[in-house]
Amino acid sequence: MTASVLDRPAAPPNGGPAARRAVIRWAWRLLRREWRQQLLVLALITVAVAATVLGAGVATNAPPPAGAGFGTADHLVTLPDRADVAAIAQRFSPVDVIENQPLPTGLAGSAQLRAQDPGGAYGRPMLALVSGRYPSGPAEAAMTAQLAAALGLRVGDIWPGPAGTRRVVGVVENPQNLLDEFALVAPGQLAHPGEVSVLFDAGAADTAGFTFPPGAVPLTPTPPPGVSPEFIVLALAVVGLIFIGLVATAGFTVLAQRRLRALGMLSALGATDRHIRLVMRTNGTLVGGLGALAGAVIGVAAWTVYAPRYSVSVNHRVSWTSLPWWLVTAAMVLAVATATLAARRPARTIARVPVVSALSGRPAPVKATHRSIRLPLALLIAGPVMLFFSGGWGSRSTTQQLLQLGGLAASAAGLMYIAPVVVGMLGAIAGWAPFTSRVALRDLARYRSRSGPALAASSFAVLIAVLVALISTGRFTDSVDYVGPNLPHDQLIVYAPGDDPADHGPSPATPQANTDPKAAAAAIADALGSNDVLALDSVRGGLAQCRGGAQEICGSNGKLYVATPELLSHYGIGPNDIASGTQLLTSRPHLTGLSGLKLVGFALDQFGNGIDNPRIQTTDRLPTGTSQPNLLVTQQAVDALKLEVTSAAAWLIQLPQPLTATQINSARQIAVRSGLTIETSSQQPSLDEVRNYATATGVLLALGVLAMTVGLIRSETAGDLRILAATGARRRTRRTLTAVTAGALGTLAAILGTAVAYLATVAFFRSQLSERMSQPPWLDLLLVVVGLPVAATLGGWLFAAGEPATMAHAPIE
Amino acid sequence: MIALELRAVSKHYGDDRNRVDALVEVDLTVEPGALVAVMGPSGSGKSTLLTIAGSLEDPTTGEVLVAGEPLSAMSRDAKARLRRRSIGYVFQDYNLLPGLTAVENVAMPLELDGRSARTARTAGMEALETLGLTERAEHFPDQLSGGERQRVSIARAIVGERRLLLADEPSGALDSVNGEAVMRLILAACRQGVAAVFVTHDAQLASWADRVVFIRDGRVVDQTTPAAGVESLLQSSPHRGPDR
Repeated sequence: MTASVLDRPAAPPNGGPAARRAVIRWAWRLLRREWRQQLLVLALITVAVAATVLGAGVATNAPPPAGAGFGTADHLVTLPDRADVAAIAQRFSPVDVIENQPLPTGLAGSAQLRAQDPGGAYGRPMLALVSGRYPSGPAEAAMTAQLAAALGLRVGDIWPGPAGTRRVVGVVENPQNLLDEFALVAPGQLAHPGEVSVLFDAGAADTAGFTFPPGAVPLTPTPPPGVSPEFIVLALAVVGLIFIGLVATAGFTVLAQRRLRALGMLSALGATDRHIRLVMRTNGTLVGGLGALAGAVIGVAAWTVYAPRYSVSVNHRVSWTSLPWWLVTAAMVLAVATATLAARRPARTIARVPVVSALSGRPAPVKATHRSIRLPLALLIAGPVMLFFSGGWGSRSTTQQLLQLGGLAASAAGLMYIAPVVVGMLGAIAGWAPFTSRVALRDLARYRSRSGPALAASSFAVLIAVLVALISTGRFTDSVDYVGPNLPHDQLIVYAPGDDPADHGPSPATPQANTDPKAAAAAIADALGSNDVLALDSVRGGLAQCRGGAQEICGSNGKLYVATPELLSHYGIGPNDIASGTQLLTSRPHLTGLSGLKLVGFALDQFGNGIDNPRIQTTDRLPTGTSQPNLLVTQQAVDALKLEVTSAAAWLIQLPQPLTATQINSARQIAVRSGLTIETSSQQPSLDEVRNYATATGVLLALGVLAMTVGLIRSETAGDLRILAATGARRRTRRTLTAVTAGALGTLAAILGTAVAYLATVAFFRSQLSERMSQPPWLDLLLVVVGLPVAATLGGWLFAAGEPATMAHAPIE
Repeated sequence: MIALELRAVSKHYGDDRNRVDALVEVDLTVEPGALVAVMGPSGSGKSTLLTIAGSLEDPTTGEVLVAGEPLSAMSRDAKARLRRRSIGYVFQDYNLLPGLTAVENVAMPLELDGRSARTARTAGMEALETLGLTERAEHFPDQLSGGERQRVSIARAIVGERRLLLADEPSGALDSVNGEAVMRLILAACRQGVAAVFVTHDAQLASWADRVVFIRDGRVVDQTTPAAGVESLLQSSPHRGPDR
């Protein structure tokens, strides 16, 4: 034996892959045995990944598909007839020609008679067969399901349509625009098409060098503006996983403690520290992997079920495969990485426990480590300082945005670092407390390796909830730049061509027709069964708030509605109700108290003359809680600024009841055919909805983390409880212990999270404090600061009723 | 070569004001094939002696040599390697790894040492066969009786090329029949050349040993062979009692 045995060359020093396989196998077996103890972490990871997958599907498929109206082509030109098609085809061959002819149906919402080649070079994404087959001859047609239903036709029926009698041979749709109602005939079957769309691929130089017919402008697909939705979803997923990582750290720490004796035995058998760490790290990876896999499967399954319904909501066909798979993969990888990283610290800690202590099931005596408060304090000071200098609301430079991100990150990191320090202080202040509370508080301090991360995670949940409540309050109470619900559910606005503030432009596939906008608006009102139509006059102008020489243009996207006598009368405002000299009428609160306001008129996006500090009159007769119209410019200001008034730029239609999806569809069809656009309720949540949802989510998450931690700490101290029971402690003592443990953690989480959120928000809004924070979300703050501790305490009291299973037996083996 | 040698080993716990001397200047030598029993009252340092001898704990002073190799010169990894290859442990409460079957428990030290799973399993099965546990090889610890668990534990301690077996009250949780069976297995291992040191408070079991070492207050107070009168020595010990 002996030296020769120790130096046996065949075996690697640490056992090599064989040892790692054995350790990993054991970790897997332990996970199978103890998965219930890791259910919370597993569930959180699963939910996070599933939500990311579902969110990614919703976010990326919300806008129309890239190149909607273009098929696979990169150019589209719309012609009034076929005259110039041959020339374009000769220059840009191959081309795909789609001919349209208005199809009178006698029903609300017009349709098209369309001649399109289903196998065309570019138009295939805009045509799909739902059932039956495509028409192939002069006596056949296919049509969209809604049109067929409107005409009372089914596949196989005879349709005596305007293009002759035809047999309906199939049901079709435009997957890129489900509102596109049409009857399809074979190519060349339209005698006199009213509109010809030509799709083709071409370089910029090619189109520039070609002379298109007058009025025919080649269009190209425009990429969606702003930050990509995938990036936003990924950023949210990362924030969520940071929170889960904190929870997982606490959970894995407890798990490591539970496995202490077994790990000690493994060490006694000759496992190295690396092997011991590997057991815990493998557990983390497996939990992350299982959670990621389950989350992805659930997310994809949910998306598969939801995608068809979502297609109806977004008016274009959405396939279950229309997911950003790279994002799904990234979310899964991040989930695995989060759980693996969360297991690192407990793994290191447990590997350092002396073997003899581990075998006896006793963690090494806690060394009186001094947790410096300097680092967390420095972070908690640095964060708000960065936010202070980040320019506040509306800052847009890269440096300012980096300062905002850095400030938030530093604040969150400071919160996480200060949590264990605060928990440690509990032990010091426990001396004054009654006996049971003293025991509970000292247990929290003793087990700070579990309670510290748990407090950090709970505080983080509170921080996010309070931040959302505060910042959304600041944003929603911005009197200059209104945000919130755009319209009630029983109203609809029709915009004249070119006057849609969203400025989406006409759909390439259905170019605007030469219809009288006023007549079209009336037709929409008729179709909706309303005779309450209010014409809105607008001017190009806006309300700016000038700060430090810079001008921030806000208000109605550069469009203000004019306080015409008709509009004022509609809202019950008489001429005598408006003070002399008033230049702006508004229902927005706080607007009159703002300084630095300037009413400007502009043309071609250039500033024109302005009126500094315009005279503003607030009236509660104008609508509140909606965007339109809550800010009106008076005739006096129009005259003073010599603003050009666009008469009847929009029509506000009031319905007796909320709009139905069918009514919206009908209105949209009429609007599209007329070159108009409509706006209905965007379902944007109100301030109360945002705050309440954020608060409820934050409190529930915090309570979930607290429940897990408190349960584990109390089960670990079951031995102490046995001693207490032996010395005469009653059931009430057990309840009090758990209630105080939960209540203390809940209180600290509520205070820490709220304090850091307030610190960050105050620093961020700085000079705008009086305006942005003028309506603090008292109810939500009350729910967090009082509700969370109370709920935690009550929950602890109620759920401590049963005697833990570990009371009678040691928790291991 | 001497299987185990302790040279003036001392172990103190606590700081200067609350110092506890678990072992004081202990010398012990165990030759290959020898079976040594350690007896003494509760708190006398018997278990500490075993954990130090098995490299689970470091002595405060003194030197421990296993197969001539000084432990003080070894890194943590080298000590782990020594435990995988040379030292087998048997504990009173078995300490089998949960989630692993009997044969997987026995094979684990070999796998940790880099043997393939198949090789280790074969060796494990052989060890279990030696102890008459072939039919229980695929059972998990919680499906085994106390005696079976301890036999699995012994199989795990002697599998491979182990030459030093350390047992801390191996029959403490067993009835007398099973306790004697366990001692028989340890003795059989010694007959194969394995040096064994076991802690016991049972004089009858101690009589199986080639030598009995008596410890009190951390010091070796006597060493004898059972033939020299273990019973009489026990009668004179003022702190006789179970070591729990």
